[in-house]
Amino acid sequence: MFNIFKFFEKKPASKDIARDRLKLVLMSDKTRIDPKVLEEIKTDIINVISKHLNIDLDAVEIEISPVGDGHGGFSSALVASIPIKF
Amino acid sequence: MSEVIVITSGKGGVGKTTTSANLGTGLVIEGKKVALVDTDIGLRNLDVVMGLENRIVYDLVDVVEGTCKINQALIKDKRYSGLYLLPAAQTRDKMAVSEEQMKVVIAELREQFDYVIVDCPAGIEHGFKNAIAAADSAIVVTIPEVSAVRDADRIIGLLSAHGITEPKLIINRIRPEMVKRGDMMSIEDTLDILGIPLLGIIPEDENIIRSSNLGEPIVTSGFKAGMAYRNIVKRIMGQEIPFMNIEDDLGFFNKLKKLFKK
Repeated sequence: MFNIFKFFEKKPASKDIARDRLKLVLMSDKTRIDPKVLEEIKTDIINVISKHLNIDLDAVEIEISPVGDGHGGFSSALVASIPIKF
Repeated sequence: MSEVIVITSGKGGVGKTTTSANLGTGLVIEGKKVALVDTDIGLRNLDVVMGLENRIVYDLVDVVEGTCKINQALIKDKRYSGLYLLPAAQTRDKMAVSEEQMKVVIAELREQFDYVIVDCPAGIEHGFKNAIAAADSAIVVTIPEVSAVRDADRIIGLLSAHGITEPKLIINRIRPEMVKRGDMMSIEDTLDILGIPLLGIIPEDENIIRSSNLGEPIVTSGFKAGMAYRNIVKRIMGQEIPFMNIEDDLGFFNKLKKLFKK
């Protein structure tokens, strides 16, 4: 059904969406890390953390992700998700 | 002193060949002697855009293989004194020419011409590497669309890796009315993303298609894309020409509206 409220809702300009998508894709194009290197980083991190904590080895995830800086810009970050077992 | 400029983009269909034809012709109108080199082996098109397709006898591969001398392969454009085209081969594999051979051919052209304009094939492989092998500088052509800008960014990175560190940008097919309503990335948006200096903007102009139908470069006409190319030609020659205000294209009614908004 036609929603009059949705009709008046201000949509972002498509060119802004294009610009943001481009910034993200260019960053991920540029920060592509050799999967082998990423795997080595993962092993090293697991070794360090598991000295101190009991972690779920199979559920550890490490990836390069874009992070917004809150001003329309982006940078990339190494994001690790390391579940702890109790 | 001669200058070898490669026209490149990564993505196909954004206007490399049209730009090569118009900048070459424009430089000749300004009194320079210019060689246009089509390096798109197997998919040559600079010949048809220039309207010289019926005059090809020898091509780039013939020159490289020693079948003919370079001056036998160069087609003299009878309309514009000082303009020559070295066509690509149409029925050969692109591996028929190596980077080293390309450097030899370009070195020979340097001795005879003020400018050598190299029309690069789409892509980033063998043909691209050949086209940029002997270039002094590069012009990157893009259009304000995500796929084209992404490829342009990749090309800028590859050019830099090959020692061409200061490419200049042409933004082609800008549609002022779409930019105005926020449905097309503006010049500023595109420059912000690509981070290289702007050489020129070409507004979308249906006369470009007419001119390629006729095999007559638009740079010689009074159409807005022709004027835009003439401005770029002058900038290449070192003149300071202000950038076209694309809002001038918006027409009388829109200008009136803008006036009342102030």
